[in-house]
Amino acid sequence: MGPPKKSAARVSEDPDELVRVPLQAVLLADSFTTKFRPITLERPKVLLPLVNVPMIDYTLTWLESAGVEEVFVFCCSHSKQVISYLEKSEWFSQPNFTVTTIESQNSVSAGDALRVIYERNVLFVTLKVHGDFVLINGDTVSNMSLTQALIEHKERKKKDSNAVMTMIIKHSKTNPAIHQSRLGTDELFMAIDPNTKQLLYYEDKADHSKGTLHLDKSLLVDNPSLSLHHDKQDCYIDICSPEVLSLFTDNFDYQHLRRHFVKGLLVDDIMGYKIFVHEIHSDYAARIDNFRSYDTVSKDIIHRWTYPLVPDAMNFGNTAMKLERQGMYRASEILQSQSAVVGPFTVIGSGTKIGNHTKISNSVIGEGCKIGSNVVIEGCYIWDNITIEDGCKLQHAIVCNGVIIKSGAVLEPGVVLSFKVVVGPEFVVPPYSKVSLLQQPIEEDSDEELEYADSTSAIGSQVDKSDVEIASEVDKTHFSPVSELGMGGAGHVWSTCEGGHEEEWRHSVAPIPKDKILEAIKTMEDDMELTHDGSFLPLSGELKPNSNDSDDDDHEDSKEDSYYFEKEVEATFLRAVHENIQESHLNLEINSLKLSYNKLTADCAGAVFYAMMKFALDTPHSSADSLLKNVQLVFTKWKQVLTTYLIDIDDQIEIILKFEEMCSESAKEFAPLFTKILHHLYNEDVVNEDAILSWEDEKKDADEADKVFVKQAQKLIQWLKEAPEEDDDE
Amino acid sequence: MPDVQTLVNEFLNQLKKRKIEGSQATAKQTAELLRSVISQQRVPHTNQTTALINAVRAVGEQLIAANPVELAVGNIVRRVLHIIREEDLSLATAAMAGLGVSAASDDEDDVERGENSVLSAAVVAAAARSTLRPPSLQTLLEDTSESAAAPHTSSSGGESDGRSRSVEKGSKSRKLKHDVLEAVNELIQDISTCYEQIAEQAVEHIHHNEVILTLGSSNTVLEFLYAAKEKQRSFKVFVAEGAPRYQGHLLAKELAARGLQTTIITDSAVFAMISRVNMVIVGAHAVMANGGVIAPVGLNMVALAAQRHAVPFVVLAGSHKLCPLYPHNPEVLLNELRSPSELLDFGEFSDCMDSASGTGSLHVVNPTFDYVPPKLVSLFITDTGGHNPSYVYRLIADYYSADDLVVKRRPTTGS
Amino acid sequence: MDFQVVVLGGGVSKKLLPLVSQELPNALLPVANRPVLSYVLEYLELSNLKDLIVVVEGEEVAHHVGAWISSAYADRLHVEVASVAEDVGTAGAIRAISQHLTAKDILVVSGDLVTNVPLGAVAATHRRHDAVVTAMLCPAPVSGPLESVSSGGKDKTKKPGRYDLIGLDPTKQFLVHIATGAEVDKDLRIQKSMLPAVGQIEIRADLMDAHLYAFKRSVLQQVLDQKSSFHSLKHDVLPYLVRSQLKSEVLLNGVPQAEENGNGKVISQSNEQVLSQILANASEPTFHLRHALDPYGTTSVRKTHKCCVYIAGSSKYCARLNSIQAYSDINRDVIGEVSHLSGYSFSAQNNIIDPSAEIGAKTTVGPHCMLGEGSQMGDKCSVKRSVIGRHCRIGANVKVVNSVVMNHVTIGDSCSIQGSVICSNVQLQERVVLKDCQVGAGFVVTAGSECKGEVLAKK
Repeated sequence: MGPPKKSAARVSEDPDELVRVPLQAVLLADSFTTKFRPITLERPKVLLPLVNVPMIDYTLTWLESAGVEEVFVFCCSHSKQVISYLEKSEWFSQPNFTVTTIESQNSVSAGDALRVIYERNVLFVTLKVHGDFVLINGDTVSNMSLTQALIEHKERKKKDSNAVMTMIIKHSKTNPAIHQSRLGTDELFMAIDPNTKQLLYYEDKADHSKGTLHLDKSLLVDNPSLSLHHDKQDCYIDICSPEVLSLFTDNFDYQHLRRHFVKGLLVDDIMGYKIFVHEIHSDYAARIDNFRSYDTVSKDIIHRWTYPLVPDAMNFGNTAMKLERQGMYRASEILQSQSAVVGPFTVIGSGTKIGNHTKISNSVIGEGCKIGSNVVIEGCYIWDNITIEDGCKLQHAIVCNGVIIKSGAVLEPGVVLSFKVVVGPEFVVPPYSKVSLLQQPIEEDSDEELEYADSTSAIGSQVDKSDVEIASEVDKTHFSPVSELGMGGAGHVWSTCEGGHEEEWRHSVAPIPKDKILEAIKTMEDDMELTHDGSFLPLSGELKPNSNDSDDDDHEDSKEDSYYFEKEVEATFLRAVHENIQESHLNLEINSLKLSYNKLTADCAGAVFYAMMKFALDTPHSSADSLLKNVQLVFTKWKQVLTTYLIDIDDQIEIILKFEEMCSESAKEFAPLFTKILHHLYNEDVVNEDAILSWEDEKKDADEADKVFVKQAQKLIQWLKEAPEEDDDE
Repeated sequence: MPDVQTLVNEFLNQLKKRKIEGSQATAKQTAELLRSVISQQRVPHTNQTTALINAVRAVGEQLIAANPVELAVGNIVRRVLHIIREEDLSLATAAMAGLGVSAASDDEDDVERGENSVLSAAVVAAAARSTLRPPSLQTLLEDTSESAAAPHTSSSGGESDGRSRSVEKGSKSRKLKHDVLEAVNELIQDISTCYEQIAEQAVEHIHHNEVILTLGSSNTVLEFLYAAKEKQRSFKVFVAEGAPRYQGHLLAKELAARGLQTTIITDSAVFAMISRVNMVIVGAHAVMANGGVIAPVGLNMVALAAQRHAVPFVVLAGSHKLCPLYPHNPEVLLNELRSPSELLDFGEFSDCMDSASGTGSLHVVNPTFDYVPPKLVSLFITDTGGHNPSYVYRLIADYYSADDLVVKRRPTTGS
Repeated sequence: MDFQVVVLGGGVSKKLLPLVSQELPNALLPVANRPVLSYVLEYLELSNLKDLIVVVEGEEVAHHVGAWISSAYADRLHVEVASVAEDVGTAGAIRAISQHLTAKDILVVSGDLVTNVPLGAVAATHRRHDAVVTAMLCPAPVSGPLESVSSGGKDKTKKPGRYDLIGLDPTKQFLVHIATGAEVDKDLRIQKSMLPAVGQIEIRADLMDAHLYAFKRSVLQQVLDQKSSFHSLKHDVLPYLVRSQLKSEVLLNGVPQAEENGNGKVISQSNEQVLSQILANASEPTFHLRHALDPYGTTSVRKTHKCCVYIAGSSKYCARLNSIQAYSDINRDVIGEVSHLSGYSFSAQNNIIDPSAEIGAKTTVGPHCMLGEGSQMGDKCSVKRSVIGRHCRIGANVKVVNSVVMNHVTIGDSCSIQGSVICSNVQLQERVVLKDCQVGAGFVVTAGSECKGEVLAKK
């Protein structure tokens, strides 16, 4: 990874180049999460209409008005749709604003995306990220002016080249009871140096380490005063220096922008990269992360916080909206019956028909909808070409294009109806249920880490699926006489498995039920009690209660991170094998891993050895002998890599132990070959006799189970024991 | 004409994004844009007038749609249309004079009749008025002599030049465009110089030891006051700060820098101070056909205060701010609601807008403009001199021709 | 100011050996030839606090201190000296004299405090917010305790957490977190529950707790008898109060009625600070709902109490005599930069030489020096930035630099003393060279001995 980094560094070192290059932006047109399912199975998140305009248009409009000249739109899931949309839209034909799409199917995370961009960077000259660039998601709405932040960023960069990133934050109180912001994101704790505005600590998953917040003491060493913020909101708009890309490429374990990258930089003090924050006050910026924020941001737009990104100003060719009294936005052509009541803060798209005695309030209604009479719509987001028959009742629901709601049906709060779903007459859709024509993907997991994986595996399967196929599925479901959605209904009600109901109320568009908040408040008080009990014990109540638990959690994460370490070494090794990188580079990479995980050489040795054996094992082999062959081949080819970590005898012993462990657990196939391979290792001078001997006497007082292999190797050991005398004889 | 289109798009963008502030700048840019449109427009041999008019309309429609609140755009578009018509008219008459053929053309093209009636009426009015028209930017002064003939022939301008083309085709087609461009240039000239022209009149209105009150910031007002000072008038200025954007602060700064005796007061203090004020001088966003004014928010209050204390309420407005529409006209969006963040800090109140947990009860409305009814305005000072509100409609009749009121090509919507 | 003042005189602290002894307890340790306690007493007197309770550890100490006070302040102050058992801790000390406490607010001052921070300001803060406790913080001195003048700045960074880690609210007048540097082992932990309420905590490592607290009496007493385990005010009581300030029902149970409404009054004010944040954040209607249904929502407003701080400006002087280093620092400062504290009038040379002192020929006494009454100095001596006590006999060409020499010390010819402390009745014979030493009372240093950084005391 040496050369590319240099090139990046060069770009940044040359100050006037920083000034010259046009401002660029990397726009990730994929959130790499499953929060917007089932809708995102059929349409990418960035194309979902936000107050009747696709999200990505907000983002692009902002970038354009903020003076960005070149945007790389990184399309992953449903990339075809995104690209074709952009081609249709006017974005490609903007004066001095170029939009380039980068397509990649197999990126499963923001990290991957940036890595891809980095590689393309190296390959093609055409799309090249030279100077600083703005990193933003395609689902961000903002009207802030970048100039100030950019200037600050460049100034810092000049002073110290380690200031690689500037995060945009905004003051916004979080609700202490339910521990989430109005955007439905988890509460966020940040430590910021009040003078330099350097970010010192970032914790958005506040669940673990209950009750208290752990700040590393060393933080206080170099800055005597730091301010700890709970009332800030992360806008997910970052100004990055080119290094960021290379950073992602160097540590290919970085997936999530915040959870891995930011924290990674904050903890690692070897590289000493710094992150700074820029707080915006009067400007607006928010990212749509889940249904809750979809709701909140929509309301903010309607209340014109995002001016000039407001419905009556943001007409993209399509018919203009007009703002009327008390925040009613109406397109020009609307057929509204006299008796219909349209309440405040409502948006109604063009060509929509509204029947008699229908009541609509605090809702957004798209274009070409047919709404019958005596319908009640409250706080809903109704997209385009939707038919709502008479007497329906909709509360706080999201209804996607082409949905048909038969007469008298009821949508309870928090319902999400994906595309073309049909709800049968008089049918009541239970609260928080998500309905789609597509079957629910089987593998679901609330676990954050796995989320990338399953999201893409499922989306990936969708990506290549053409609309035709989807349509065919639609038909399949259509003609089921009675479906889960009542007579003539079409669609599957998804079971809410991730986090169950508990999570649903947090992230849906429906307002949070009162009882939930009550519970929350109770629990909050209990927390307080709890911390008090902590205080009852005698001297120095400060640390006693926590110190012990902190220890064990350190312990376990050290455990798991050694696990990750091995995994990565293995991955690296395999990559090296397949792209046959030469040993020296492989060593470099492993070293860097070693640093980042701060491991001993012994660990590396073990890990490398493990990787090699694993490789040997995986390469197809008919019999034990051929397996042995594989092993020998591998070792002849990659010995160097291993031996560089065999500095002293302990490393070698480590290897042997590792091997033993493998034989007994992960790779039993080796068990019979133990002695042979050990001997081979000996011949290859991977391990010398002292190592083997000391391993043996280490095992002396182990219990029988452990001694199996020692016994096996007995002969070899014997021979080794005798060997010296022979030497003496000559 | 692709390059024009890009120009247009660019301008549209700026309008949409509310990048252009101030009606003067907008007006000027619009005029310049239209000029390039016209110059790019290839005139066919048959009735160029309609060709030009359609071209301008096409663009104008988009422009107006882009930012309906900025009335100056519409005004300029209409002005240009008007110019085209008048130029055509003058040429036609000239041609007619040359040909001496009376127009047998009246029986033809009944299509246009409907609007013609309106038109001719307007032109008759214009002709009648032309004598008592104040000397101004009128580009047609020279033709007014035979304006008697004007209504008659103008009705069939298309035909007449269609016929007259046979005589002097090439020269004429070029001439029309050329004249129009000339006129538009003058228009641009006028827009950019309207400050001076207004300012010139300052002396007549501001006298020694007077106290002037203004609200918010307006370049016109600034120049006006400054001009008065230049003429050795010594007077005091009260500046109401003009919440929420507080542009009054800037104005006050500028005035003080130029050595005027300036005092800043809050908007809410206006009523208290008004009794000490001799004259209120303010700028406007637009002047409507009925003499009503669309002005920065807060001015209605000032106007009322002024009326209560019988203080003259003077509005300065360049002629590009004269709008031929009426405030009740559906075309007119009287107001623009800007971001609430100008009023309060989002963060501080974020929890009051947390609709999720049921506290989403706080709404903020931040209108930009007030409507000041004509009866509160004592005097308009435009670049053509001082006028009474009731006179505005006549000014408008000078500048605009009645059938351009609706720029949209489908005249069904709107009026 | 109807504050009742408790001065914690301490006993004979290990840290100060060999300077202190049963005869000469901490409180009486001379700073510029005046017992350090006198600084505190006059400091209090200055703000017109005249009836004090001085608490010291051990009968004998009490006896000595009492004797001194009655001699020195008999007419000026009304002081009662109470003695408590050794090492009951500060909390214990208060507990012991608890029944003497009557006033609404109690001011607890450490007896070894030398400062000129306006006490009125502290009291005012306390009263203004009707706080339960108000602590005085001052910028950590550059040459802090245990630190040499030179390496002051660096040292702080070298050993972090030497000072207290103090969490302040954005307005910098409320204390939301406190941990003594020593306590925080590897990282510091902040209550999550506190943060949302305050929104933003500023954590300072560059402040020092001056051990001057104003307590609300009722609360203090109640905490003390509820939490018998509490040993020290700073380490137990204060952190406890700080932690519990958002939810102090626990605390105010069984408080006399007067106090209750006293505290009800607080609410109005504390609404503004702490409560409003809670209420505002926990959304309004549900909060009432909670109040209706909730078992402990019996009162419509949550009970809170407030812990305030007064942060002294960096121009003020504030130091505690709690280590030998501090001792010589304070001596230096009192006759140096903050000379007005010493209460002496300085000569033109900016030093104090008692008229009764005799100075030999060619002897120079530099600025920032002090020479006690009846002391004699031989020829060719030079004294720099040092304090020399009463009735000392100093031979010829002796050098005394950066040192403190107490009373009745005999120094032989051509001795050289640097950065040392020499207690009373010590005898230095000829040509003794001391550098950074402490010599215990009555010790005899034999001729010609050279010591560096040693502690010399009677076994």
